[in-house]
Amino acid sequence: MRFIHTADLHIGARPDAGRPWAQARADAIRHSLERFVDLCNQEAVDLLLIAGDLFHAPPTEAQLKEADYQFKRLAATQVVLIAGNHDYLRPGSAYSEHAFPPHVHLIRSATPESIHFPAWRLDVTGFSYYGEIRRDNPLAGYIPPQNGLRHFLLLHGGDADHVPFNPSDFQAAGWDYIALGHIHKPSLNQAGKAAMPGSPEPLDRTESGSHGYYLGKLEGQSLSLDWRPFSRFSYTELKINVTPDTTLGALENLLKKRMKTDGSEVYRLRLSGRRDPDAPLEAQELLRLGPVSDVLDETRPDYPWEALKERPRQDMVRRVMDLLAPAEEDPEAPVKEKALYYALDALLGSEKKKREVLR
Amino acid sequence: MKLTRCHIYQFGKLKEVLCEFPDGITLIQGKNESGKSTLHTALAALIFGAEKSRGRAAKDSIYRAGLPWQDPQLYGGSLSWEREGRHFTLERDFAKNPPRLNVTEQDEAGSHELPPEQLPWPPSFSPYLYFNTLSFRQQGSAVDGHLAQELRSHIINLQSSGSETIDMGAALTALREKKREQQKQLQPEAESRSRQLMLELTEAQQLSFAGSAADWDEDKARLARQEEEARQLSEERSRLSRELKEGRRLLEERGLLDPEKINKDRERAQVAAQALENYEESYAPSQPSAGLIQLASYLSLPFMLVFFWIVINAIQTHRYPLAALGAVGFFVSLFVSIRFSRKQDAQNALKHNQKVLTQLFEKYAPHYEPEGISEEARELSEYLEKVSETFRYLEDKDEAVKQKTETLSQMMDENQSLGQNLEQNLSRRMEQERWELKVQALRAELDALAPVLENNRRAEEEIKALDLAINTLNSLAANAYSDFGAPLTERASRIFAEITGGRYQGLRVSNRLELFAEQDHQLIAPESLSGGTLEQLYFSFRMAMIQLLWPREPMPLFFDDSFAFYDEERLGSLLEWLHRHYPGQVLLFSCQDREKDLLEEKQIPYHEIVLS
Repeated sequence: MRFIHTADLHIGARPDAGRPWAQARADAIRHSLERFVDLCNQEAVDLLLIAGDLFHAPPTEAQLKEADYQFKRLAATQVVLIAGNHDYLRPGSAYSEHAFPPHVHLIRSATPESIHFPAWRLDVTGFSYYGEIRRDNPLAGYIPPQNGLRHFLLLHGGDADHVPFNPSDFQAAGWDYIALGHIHKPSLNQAGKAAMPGSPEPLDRTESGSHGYYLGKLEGQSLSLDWRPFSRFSYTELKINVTPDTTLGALENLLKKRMKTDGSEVYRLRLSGRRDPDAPLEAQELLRLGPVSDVLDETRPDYPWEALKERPRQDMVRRVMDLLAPAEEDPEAPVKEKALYYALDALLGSEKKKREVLR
Repeated sequence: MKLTRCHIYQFGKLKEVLCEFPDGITLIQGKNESGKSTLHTALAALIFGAEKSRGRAAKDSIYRAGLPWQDPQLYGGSLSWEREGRHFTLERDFAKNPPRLNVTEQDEAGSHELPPEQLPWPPSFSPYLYFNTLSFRQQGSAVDGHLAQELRSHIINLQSSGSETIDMGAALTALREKKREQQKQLQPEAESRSRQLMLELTEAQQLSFAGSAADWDEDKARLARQEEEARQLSEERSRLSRELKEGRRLLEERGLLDPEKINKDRERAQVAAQALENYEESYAPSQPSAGLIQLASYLSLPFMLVFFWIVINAIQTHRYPLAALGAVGFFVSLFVSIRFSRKQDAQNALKHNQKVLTQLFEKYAPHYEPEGISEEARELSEYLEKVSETFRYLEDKDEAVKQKTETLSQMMDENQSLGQNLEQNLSRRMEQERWELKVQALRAELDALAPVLENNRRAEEEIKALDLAINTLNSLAANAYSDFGAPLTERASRIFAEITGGRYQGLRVSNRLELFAEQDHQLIAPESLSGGTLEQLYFSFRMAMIQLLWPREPMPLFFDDSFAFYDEERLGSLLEWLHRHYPGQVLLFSCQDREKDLLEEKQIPYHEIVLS
């Protein structure tokens, strides 16, 4: 029995509004279900598991109609899905009342309920959200029946506001596979029996890294999982080391070489290293370079630290350095460090200016 | 620092003036308009420079004040001074634009030029501090209102290991400018918008959940059920009422209108049938005819009378057998009479009943001619019974129709209210759906705001760091100033007490450098002091500042006719104080002999330069 496990498709999400690549992003997210249907057909997948948040918000009739159209294209795949904290059910809502085709099983119950697949001797258990927040765990104390069937669990959540649980909670319960959803970053627990596939497409610029799904195979008692990349689009963090000699032009040339221009990647630039305190880089200019979501400037000014420390104790620069020296494990340390650079910049700048005036 | 000599080429009315400045007190004497003040100004111009309508207004005014009356080409001069054992000379040519400056140092090897940007002045030797400390003018020695700020900056620099390179004011200004830049990046409306959106979102979420519509489906099913029931009931009622109508029509056609009358007729028919039957059973058709019976009943009475008479006669004549016979005859005729009279009654009743029967048949089956027998009566009675039953049946039906109509109307009422309920629920549900859409729209807007808010967070962090930097520099400056303020007050107090001969115990200096004299533990504001005491107050303060600003380096003092408000006693003690306590040069520009007389009187050594 072959299955695909995905979650958090978030159909309807439109990230990066106002940025040039926003439309491409929205399109990629909108087409993800269509691509899963194609995958199921190509790979002869028996079961498609969607562990919540198929939609970005409780779906409209139109969105459900579109989903139906895609589901109906499935050649021989059964679908089991649950509603997550984004696309939660509500009595009387379009989602709650929607009649899916017979091979698509939405588990509407708010408490664990199972769908039986006698052909594979498999039970798929799950429950749906009826609101954005669910702080209880309806699986506490739930143990799948010892009926000789294999048991899959569909579960959306994992943080304090969304069915708090620890994957190890379920090890004793004897699930054959726990298909998780909600966290957008993929992860696999040690026993290999619980997996979070992450969202198939990244949903905001902090979701860098690869995005995909799990292709699973159940043969007898053995379960094998294969993580496969899926996203058509990715956010990439580029770390760039800067020296006092680096110029904006040099950075631009470097980035032009490293950045893909086919629109499949958007970059978050993280500048580190030492900058020239007298001629700081206009790093935010790099935003105009194209697919750059943001520029994080974490460079430090390249002051002659040793010489500054040589100054007498009562020297204003020394005093500022002493006052703003970040203590260890000071939660304010980053602010202090910034404040130190600002203060030094201003003091040394005034010194320099005064020398110029004296000339 | 010690001034050694000056050479004025041309400056205002001065032309080719050459002065040597010795140590100690030097009295620069001259009559009014002899150029003492001009020399004072010329020295400032040589020290700090003067530019034409550029730079500060003060410099500009120096430039104007110094414009030569006669030969502007020679506008300028040279000044020599000694500092820490080194000898320097500068030469300024104000006629050039920009003015030319030439600095040289003289040592054993001779004279060599210094780069003009590195004028070897003592630290803090700025025009501003010069005019507010070292230089006393005719206008009085009150200090400038901006001195507080300027002094602060200089104090900070002094504290800063004496390097005069840091400009705290400029540093703070730069930081504040950076803060403004960051504040410009802030989009506070995004914050308030996001707060507003969050509030709206909470409300919309609550409303989209308010009053669960779970019952709606149930109510909907119930309504459908009840509507179906009502429909069936209505059909049943129609059928019944059709039947009723048909039945009534059929009865009407047969003239069967009044069930009560029909019932009575039925009873009559029944009675007749019973009577006829009885008759038929009692009197067989073979019995004597009616005429015979009549005759017999007519005849029986006379017989009875005859026999009665016979009996009476026979008894009276004791002919008892005859009497017996007569009695038998009597009873026989009595029997016959009774018998026949009964039969006649029966026949009469028969006739009556047959008449009734005929009437009834005429009424209900006019085409039938009854024979008058009980069977007909019975059939008629049965027929009428059936009609009555029909009436009862129709009545029941009528009742049922009425009942059904009532039920139906109740049901319709109920359905109507259920429908209304449903309608309300439906509109509530539509309302909820609208709120759900609203939730989605709000979410989308919040999502779109997220990057703006992120930028705000970033700018806020920068602002926080800038605030910390600004506060740190401010507190350092404040500390530096308070470190400086206490000794300043202390020194000034001491000097003030000395030169006032103990009439005042001291003075106080506010943070903004406002001065107060202290007498008998009371603070006296400057405006309440006499002109002379006020001058002494400022003098004391300036001396204290000079000592603190240049603690290791005696600086020259310049008094330009500054003692107008001083009486002899005050001036005397001031000169004495200068002689005893001031280690630097003192240049007294004076047009009177007061100073000279007092110096002589107090036996204070001095030099004299006379301007002519």
